[in-house]
Amino acid sequence: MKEAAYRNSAGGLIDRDRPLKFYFDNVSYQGFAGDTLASALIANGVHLTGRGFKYHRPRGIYTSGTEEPNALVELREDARREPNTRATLIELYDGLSAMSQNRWPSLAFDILSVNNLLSPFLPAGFYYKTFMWPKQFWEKMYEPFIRRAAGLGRAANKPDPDRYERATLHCDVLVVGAGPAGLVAALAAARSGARVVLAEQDHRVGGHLLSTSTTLDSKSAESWSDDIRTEIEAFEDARLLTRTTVFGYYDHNILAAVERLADHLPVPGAHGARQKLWRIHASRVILACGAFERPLVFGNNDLPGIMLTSAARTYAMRYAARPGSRAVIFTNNSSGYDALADLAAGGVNIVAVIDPRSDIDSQSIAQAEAVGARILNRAVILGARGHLHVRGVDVDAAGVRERIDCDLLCVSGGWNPDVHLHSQTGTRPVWSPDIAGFIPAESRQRELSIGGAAGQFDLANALITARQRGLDAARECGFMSSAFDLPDVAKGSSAYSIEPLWRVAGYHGKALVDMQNDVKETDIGLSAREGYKSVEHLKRYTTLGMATDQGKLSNVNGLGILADELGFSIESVGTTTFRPPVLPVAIGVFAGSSRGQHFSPTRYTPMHDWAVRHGAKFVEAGQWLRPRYYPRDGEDMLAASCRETLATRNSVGLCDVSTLGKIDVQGADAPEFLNRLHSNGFARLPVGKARYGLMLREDGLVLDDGTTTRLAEHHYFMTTTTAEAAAVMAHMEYYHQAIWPQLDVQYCSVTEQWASMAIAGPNSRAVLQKVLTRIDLSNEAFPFLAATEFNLGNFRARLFRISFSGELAYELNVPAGYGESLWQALMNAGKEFGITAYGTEALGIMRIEKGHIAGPEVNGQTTAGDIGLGSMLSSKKEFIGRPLAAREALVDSAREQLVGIRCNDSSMRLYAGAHLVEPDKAAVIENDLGHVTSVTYSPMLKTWIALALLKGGTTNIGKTLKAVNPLMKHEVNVEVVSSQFFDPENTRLHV
Amino acid sequence: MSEFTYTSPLAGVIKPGVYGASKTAPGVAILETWRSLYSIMPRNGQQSVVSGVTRERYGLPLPDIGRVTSNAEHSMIWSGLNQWMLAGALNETDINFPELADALKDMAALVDHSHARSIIRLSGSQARHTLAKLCALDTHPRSFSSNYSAATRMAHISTLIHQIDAAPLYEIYVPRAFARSFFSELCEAAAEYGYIAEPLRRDP
Repeated sequence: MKEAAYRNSAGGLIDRDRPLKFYFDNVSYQGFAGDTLASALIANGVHLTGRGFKYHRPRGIYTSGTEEPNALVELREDARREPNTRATLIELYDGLSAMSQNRWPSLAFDILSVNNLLSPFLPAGFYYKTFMWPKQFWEKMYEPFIRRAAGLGRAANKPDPDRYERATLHCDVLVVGAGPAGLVAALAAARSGARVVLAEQDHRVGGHLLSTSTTLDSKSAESWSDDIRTEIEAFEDARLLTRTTVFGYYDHNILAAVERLADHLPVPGAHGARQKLWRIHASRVILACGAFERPLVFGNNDLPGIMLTSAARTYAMRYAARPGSRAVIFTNNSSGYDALADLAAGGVNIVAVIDPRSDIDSQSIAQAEAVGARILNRAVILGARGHLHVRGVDVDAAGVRERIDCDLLCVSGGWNPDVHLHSQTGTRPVWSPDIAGFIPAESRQRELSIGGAAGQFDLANALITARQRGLDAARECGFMSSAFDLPDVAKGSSAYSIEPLWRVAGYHGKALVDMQNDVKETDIGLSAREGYKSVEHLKRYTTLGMATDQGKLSNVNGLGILADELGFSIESVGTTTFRPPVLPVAIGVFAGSSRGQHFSPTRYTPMHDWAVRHGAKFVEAGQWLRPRYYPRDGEDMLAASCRETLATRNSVGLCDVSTLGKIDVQGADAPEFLNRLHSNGFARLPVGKARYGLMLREDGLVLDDGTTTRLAEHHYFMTTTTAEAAAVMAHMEYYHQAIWPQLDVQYCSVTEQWASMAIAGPNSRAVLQKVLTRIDLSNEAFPFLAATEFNLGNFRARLFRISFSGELAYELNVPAGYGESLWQALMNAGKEFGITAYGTEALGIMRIEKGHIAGPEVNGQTTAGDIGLGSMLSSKKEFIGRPLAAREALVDSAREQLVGIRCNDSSMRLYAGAHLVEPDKAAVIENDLGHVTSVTYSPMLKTWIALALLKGGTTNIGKTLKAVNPLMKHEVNVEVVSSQFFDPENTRLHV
Repeated sequence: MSEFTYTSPLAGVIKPGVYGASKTAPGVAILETWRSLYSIMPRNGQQSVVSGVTRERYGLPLPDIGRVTSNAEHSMIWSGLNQWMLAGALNETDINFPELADALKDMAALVDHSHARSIIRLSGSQARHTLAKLCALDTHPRSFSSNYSAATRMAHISTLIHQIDAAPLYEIYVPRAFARSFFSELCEAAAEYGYIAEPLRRDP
């Protein structure tokens, strides 16, 4: 491990007692707690961190913040590998490992850097112009090649091992950014007792002050900031979120933020999440996001060793890391001079300040003189020299050319207030000639900007405004407090002054505007010449500002150059649209905990644990888990479900049907309501009777079926299928609330209240009678479709004589908490009859044998007539769907209608989804007669049988057709038969 | 005494103990609870009459939207459009359903939900932070306090939450079939604070 040669021996907000070892491209280095990866690399003299996207030019650390376009690395390894991570945002931890991207075979020698030489052939729009012909080459050749050449970094290809969370925060005042203005605004609001959230991207508060030697009330910037932090955190209703980026501003003052809980750790703690997504509901929002320094556009302005002046100052002051030894400053504004003293104090020898302006204020001149730097006014840098690092600059000072050697070039093209969140509210920022930058416009939401984000660069004034805005925001939420004293700010700098410089004329080499997407100054000119005059077109044609930094550095320079080219003013060019997120956000945090088992909740029936103990295999039915079959040793699904079927048909079986939807309907108009919902009549259903019911949608197609029982004069109990339970409830609510609000009817879902079990088979009565000793279950006393409510133990139970299997059968409902106990009691009582638990597979076998419809037949496209239930459409009353069910197309006799089919050869099987054609016809769409909906092997008929929807329906009975399933490459001859395969006279039902 | 035994929705899933990050000072307590629970839906125009009946019988008029009326044992919780839940005493079967049904005859639909909900008591210094991960509700005392109720989605599940006292103590009503999924997400949310889990103390 090398010593950090560029680390100053004192100063900086780093903990020198906590040295940390880290790796970059597998070389080990030393940093300190408090470093970022970028600052630690600079302290070790490492500037070359990546390669450009298109031309593969060497790139170094350019900034010290979120706007970093160059120093994008792959952080961590294996399943935790994160591509495109900004080295400037990564807090150093022990053992950190990062790799450079977009280079091969190595960072210093990268083969695709040949693109740099080929660049005359790679202008803006190159792809559109070049990869046009021949057309078929696009998919096979061009696209794969472009994809291989493009892209930065490699995503992890394993499941993310970490947890993520989502949570909601409500507050009166949200302050975004804990720089000096944000701190003061948050303090002002918090003192009033308002609920305040202060969100700060950094792990420390203080913002840009931490990069300076500014003193406030003779305190250092960090101690002043920390004192305010302490004061804010002491308020019960104030909350500081550090390491938190507010990245989205949505309607109704709802904002989204990501809190990086564990990104600064090797791995998250045992019960901690890596990141948390906050949805913040704020009555008022104060944006104190600061400003981004702007680059300057000149030749080779992307060489490593060139960086923003503010970044160099940050590395020198906050991290005690020297970004260079011999520096040239290139600035068009006074802030470049403000950094000089701090850079010099950080051990950087400043040889010259290159300033394009002719008049430079006296304060700035004094600042340069104080550090012994020459000022060259009316001067620009034509180009930077060097291969992998800057070695010097070519200066043109009022026509005089000069070469100045340096190993650090600091640039400052002015400042862009961070208007991103503000602009997301649906407004566009406005141009301020005073600061030569875009500032917030009138807001569309209850939000305003302060400090640098508002273009207010004078600290003392910014603090006064911040305090007032904080007090105002709280007052608007009903919280009053009075102003407090602001600190004395040492006044060392001049009033901000700037003359915009969008590009240097006559530069040599390449001049980059967007370093992340490799958009050159000449690309913008080309775009304008080719007719892309709108800024939105320019963006898409050149990809300016479309990289992951969203043009934080490049956009305004690009707009300035476009305005120049077109001869427009920059305000008439305008900006492109700002959209969330402000910063790339990992997809995992949006998913939060909703992954794996928590992606969707699972519903368990009251008898679930019994089924688990008895080896059931389950099937997902919507959110429910239902026992599918209960295999005994060595049985496969077919063998088990056939055994369960035979046991039921021959003696008795028990099936968990708790998942069926159950709806309690009451009220004076309950009979009328049910009459309108169903196609068949329910108003005259006797109390104590169940009836099979059919519901249509308004369009006349079948919605659902189920039994409904009249428990009392004005009290019904409705059941639905498992799949349509929620849809039927919504259907009822819609009609009651929107169409017939005058109906006096009350209903609610009681699906969860009841454990339901179907007991079926010739011995079901005998078994049930053993448990329900006080009820006369004889056929005379309790015939088919009878229903009763009674006390059992210390609860009420309900019994219905209904059957899906076609056997003598009952459905018993008991309160859910007693479901398992009742089930066990029935299993015990049935032991002498060989009672058998059966699952959904046996249920399906028996219903197909009986020709009962289910989901595959009620598929949203079938009419009652199609599925053999045409006689259930009452002609004596109105009901939902009646008018539209009479449409010509829905009563066409050529429609596909329900039939049964069976294989002629009982050794052959059938497949669901197979299409039916005449045996001698080709299996093409013109010959299609219908399709097979439900298939099973019938243990009773000892052959494969199926339900099908066939043109002409039952008129085809006796015909031989061919069932073709091209997916399975399967064909078999079948006979069309009645859909009631087994016991068509229902003799077993009424015993 | 019934020959049938009661099984709670979280039986075998919620096990007594202290879990998560802090074993010494857990910030959350999760307690499985049972109450008799009846949904009351007044017939058209009968709301004030029904409110009079419940006031007379239990001292609990029907509360406004988002509110609860309660006494030492019972609560009347607003639970939806034209719908209230009468909740009985903690872990007791103490409401006479036939009597109440008779008293409300032709005035309201009365539906037994005593087995339709899993009821979780949530408390502890970090209860509010835990809820913030589960729902979008503003649980600050200025927005939500004792005898407030809300129908809200938690962990993709429709739930009803009732704040019992300012401690704060909450009761969350979860459809029974979803109880295990809800409990699993609740535990995940509470784990960073540490939590105590306690199953149903006695069967109803």
